Amino acid sequence: MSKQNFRQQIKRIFDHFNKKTITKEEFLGYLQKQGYTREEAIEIYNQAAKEKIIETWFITELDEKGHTVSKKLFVEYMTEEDWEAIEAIDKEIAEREELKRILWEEWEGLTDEEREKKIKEILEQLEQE
Amino acid sequence: MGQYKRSRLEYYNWLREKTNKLKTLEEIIQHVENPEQINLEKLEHKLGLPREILAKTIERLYGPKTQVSHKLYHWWQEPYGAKRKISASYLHTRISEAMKKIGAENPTQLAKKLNIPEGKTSIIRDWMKQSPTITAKTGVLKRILTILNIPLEELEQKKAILDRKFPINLYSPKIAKLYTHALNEGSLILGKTPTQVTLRYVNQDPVLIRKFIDTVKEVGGWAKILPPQKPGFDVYTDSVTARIVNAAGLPYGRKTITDPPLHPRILKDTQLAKHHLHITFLEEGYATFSYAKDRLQLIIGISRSKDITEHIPAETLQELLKYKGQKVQPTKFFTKQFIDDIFPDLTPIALTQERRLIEDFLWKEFSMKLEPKARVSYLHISLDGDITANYRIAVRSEEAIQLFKEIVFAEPLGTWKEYRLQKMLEIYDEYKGRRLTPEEKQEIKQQTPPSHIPEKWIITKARQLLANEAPWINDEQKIKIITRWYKSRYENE
Repeated sequence: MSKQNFRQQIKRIFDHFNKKTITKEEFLGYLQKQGYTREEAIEIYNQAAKEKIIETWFITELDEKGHTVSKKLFVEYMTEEDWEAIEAIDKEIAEREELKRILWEEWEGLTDEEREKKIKEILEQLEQE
Repeated sequence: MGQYKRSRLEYYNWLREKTNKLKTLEEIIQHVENPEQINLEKLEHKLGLPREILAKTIERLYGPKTQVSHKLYHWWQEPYGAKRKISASYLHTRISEAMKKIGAENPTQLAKKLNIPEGKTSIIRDWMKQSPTITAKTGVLKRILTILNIPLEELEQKKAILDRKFPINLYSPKIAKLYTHALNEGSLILGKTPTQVTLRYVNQDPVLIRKFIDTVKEVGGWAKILPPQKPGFDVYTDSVTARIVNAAGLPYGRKTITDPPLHPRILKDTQLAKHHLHITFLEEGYATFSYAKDRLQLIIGISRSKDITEHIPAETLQELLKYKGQKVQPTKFFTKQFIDDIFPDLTPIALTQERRLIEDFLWKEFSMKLEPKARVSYLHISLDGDITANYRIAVRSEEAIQLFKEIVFAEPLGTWKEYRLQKMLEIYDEYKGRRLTPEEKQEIKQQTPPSHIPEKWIITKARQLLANEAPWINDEQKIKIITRWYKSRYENE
């Protein structure tokens, strides 16, 4: 199947639900209703993700201890514009995180001894001021 | 009273005592929601039982590993070596009174009377010579007061501790606000001993540095800005403040590994939740424009990172380690199955809680059922070989934008991010709801302020807000250490 046809096949799933985002189960369930086996449906899902036709999102719920007790997976039909949006966000986050790393990196590669020495120096410096 | 009657009376007393103990046990079990994390004050309030009895019973019931959290942080919870300044007039009087009561005239007699080594009481001699304040180590002070039967709480009640106000309410809004800063852009650093601790806070925006320093002052501590070395302002607090934030629930060490939750009060207090989301947007948030069928969209969100090294299969880890110092897309290294199965379970706790807060606000204030979804933006491989996944949530609906607008601009601080968001909202209002031409898209791009903070902004704000704390800010060369990174990176834009 050509890439274009494959995209059309995936788009039909979302058109069926008249939504841009559906649950993963709805996605797989639709394909199964079309006669695919569960394994084949998962194959299609994986292929669609690989070809960037869909993107998966998730929602998790925690218990009191902070452990994940439930999760829901959602599949979004992606256009070029959607990927541009994702890239724009990722770029902004990555720049901010890079700056954060620069600000924190001096602590990262330190051995315990070096770390203790550094903390001692800083505390002394703070007390002197 | 006859022998039989006495023994019956003793039996009834014993039975009553046992029944009471059993009742206490039952009540504790009934009121403890999570045996691994028990809030003693809450239980004390609910059951009306003395704290000592509760603490002992809890340990018997659930074992010594149970984490009993405290609402109040008392001076005696400080580490042994933490120094306190005590009012000499108070301590001199109380020590003299207490020794008199025991029948001792001096520390030597006191030791003899109590049958303890003289070395245990000799510090009293030094203290009696000190005035107007006595500097005492927490552990020693605790020991002497216990020997003299002086209740530890008395120091707090009489306000005899001069260097800090104790007890500290760990659930107060002030502490919750400080916790938010520490959770986002801070780190609790632990040295060789529990007295060698500090809370480090780093930010590029002078306005947030000012806010952090003021928040630390509000909880009774101090924060100092160190001379510049990096493209950001580097602030360190006193050790008591660091220990308070730790007692409030933030662990020492890297947050990507410890994965701390939000301060518990934030989850129960609407105003604090909004304050948290405001500060978190400024410290961990983002806003960007995108297009859907040529229509303008404003996307707002929050991101947080989590160390996932230990969850990665050995073979994949080896592959990833070839990219030290770089960021990569998870899809290049993991099967879709792995991404779907494992990544959601590892979502940072704080981000999951924040998603929930946003969801609840949207429902309460706009009757809108919207579940902000998460995804992993990228993985970063550190030079040490640690793999962190960057998780983010995003919202783009009109209601969600309105919510963030209300949260961020209810009490604006004057940060660069607020200024930028304000401009973006104005652009959004002007261009939204219609198909845009490529020229209009270009106009939007030109009108949108950059996400990095301009050099001029940093210098102006730093001089306005931080020059008193850090006089080096007025030194042109030194302030440029902070800004040169941006300049080298963005000067061509």
